[in-house]
Amino acid sequence: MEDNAINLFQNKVTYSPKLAVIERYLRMTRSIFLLGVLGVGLLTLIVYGIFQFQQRSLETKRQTLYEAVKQDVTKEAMLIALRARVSSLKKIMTYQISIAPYIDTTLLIASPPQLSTFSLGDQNSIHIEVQSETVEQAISVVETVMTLTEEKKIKNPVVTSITLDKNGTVMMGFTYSVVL
Amino acid sequence: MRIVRRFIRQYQSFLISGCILLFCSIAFIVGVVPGIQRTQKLVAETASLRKTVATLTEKQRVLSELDITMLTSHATAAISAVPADKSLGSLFSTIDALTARENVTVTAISLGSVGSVATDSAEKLSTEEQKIGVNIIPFSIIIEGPIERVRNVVDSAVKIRRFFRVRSFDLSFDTKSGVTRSTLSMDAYYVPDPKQISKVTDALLPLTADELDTLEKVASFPLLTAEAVTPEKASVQTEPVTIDPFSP
Repeated sequence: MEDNAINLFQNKVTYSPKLAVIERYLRMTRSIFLLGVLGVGLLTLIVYGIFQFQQRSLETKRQTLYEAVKQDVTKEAMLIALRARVSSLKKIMTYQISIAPYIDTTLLIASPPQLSTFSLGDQNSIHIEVQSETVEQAISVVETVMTLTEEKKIKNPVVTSITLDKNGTVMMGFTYSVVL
Repeated sequence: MRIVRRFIRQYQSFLISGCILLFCSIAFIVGVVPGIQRTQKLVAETASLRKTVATLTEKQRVLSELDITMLTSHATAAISAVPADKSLGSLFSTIDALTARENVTVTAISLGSVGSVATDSAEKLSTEEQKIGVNIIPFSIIIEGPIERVRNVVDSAVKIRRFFRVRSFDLSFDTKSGVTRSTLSMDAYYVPDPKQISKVTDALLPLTADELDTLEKVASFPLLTAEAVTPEKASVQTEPVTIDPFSP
């Protein structure tokens, strides 16, 4: 039987021009939003998946390396202890200075028994006492000190004391610094 | 009801758009934003893990290239120069050997600090010790012998494999006995081993050329005492004590 029903309603809703424009923009906006959310979501999912895979792979590698490194922990401990000790050795070596040159220079002035005392104090200042049997010997010692000063082997020489006893023995005290 | 249906029919397109936009907003807030945040966290974690793996790879390479015999040899030389403890035995025996070699007589030897016999925990580091970063054992010796030989003693004292430093030197000549007596104020050194090693994931660099040079130089100094030194590895705690967050 043929259907004779007539649809009196309009199939398409018509809007005012203003609403039609809004409707068109709204359609466009919803499409953009939908595509945006789906796109960003999908992209995030892909990135997440890639990094998840990478992380698992790296985690496996890390475990393997961790075990390998742990097996060599004795070597590592030795290396760390050695490095710490080398650092200390270097610092100590900078403080290790031979005082032999100070003695060598002093021996140019006098040596025992003429050299009665020798004292190396702070800031490498040297104090000596020289005993001379005669005044001539004492003068010779002073001349040696002056010569060494001129040769820049010692500096700031100071005669700290001169004593002449009844036997004619001269005891002289000097202070100076050795130029290295 | 009719009004509602008519309204829905009239603004169907607006309603659908509204629903889609609402759905998108909710999906963005509930799904996309947390997803991005989680991904960012994962990226950061992966970067950190990649760095750790690179460090461990380098560390394993360094460790595999290390020769344990060479390490032991260097450690033995280093520890014989500066022991891990006071090692007064090696101090006295080195002084004894040094003076015997130069044929002078040690008439007295004394430790200059009360703290020298105290335990590590009872000691307070001096300003100089803090400056150098090592522990110092001050001591003094009195030597009798010709000045030329005493000179050799003080010269050799800083060129042997038990590190000393001559702090001050006093010499006197006794005209009556004809004896030259020298008093040497000296320092010996010791450096305790590190109490703990670094984390497994910490970077490890091989010995530099400069460090190797220092070790070679130390090893070249003569060892005057035959006293056995404790290998460094025996006193080092080999298990890492710091908890690694990545450890299984």
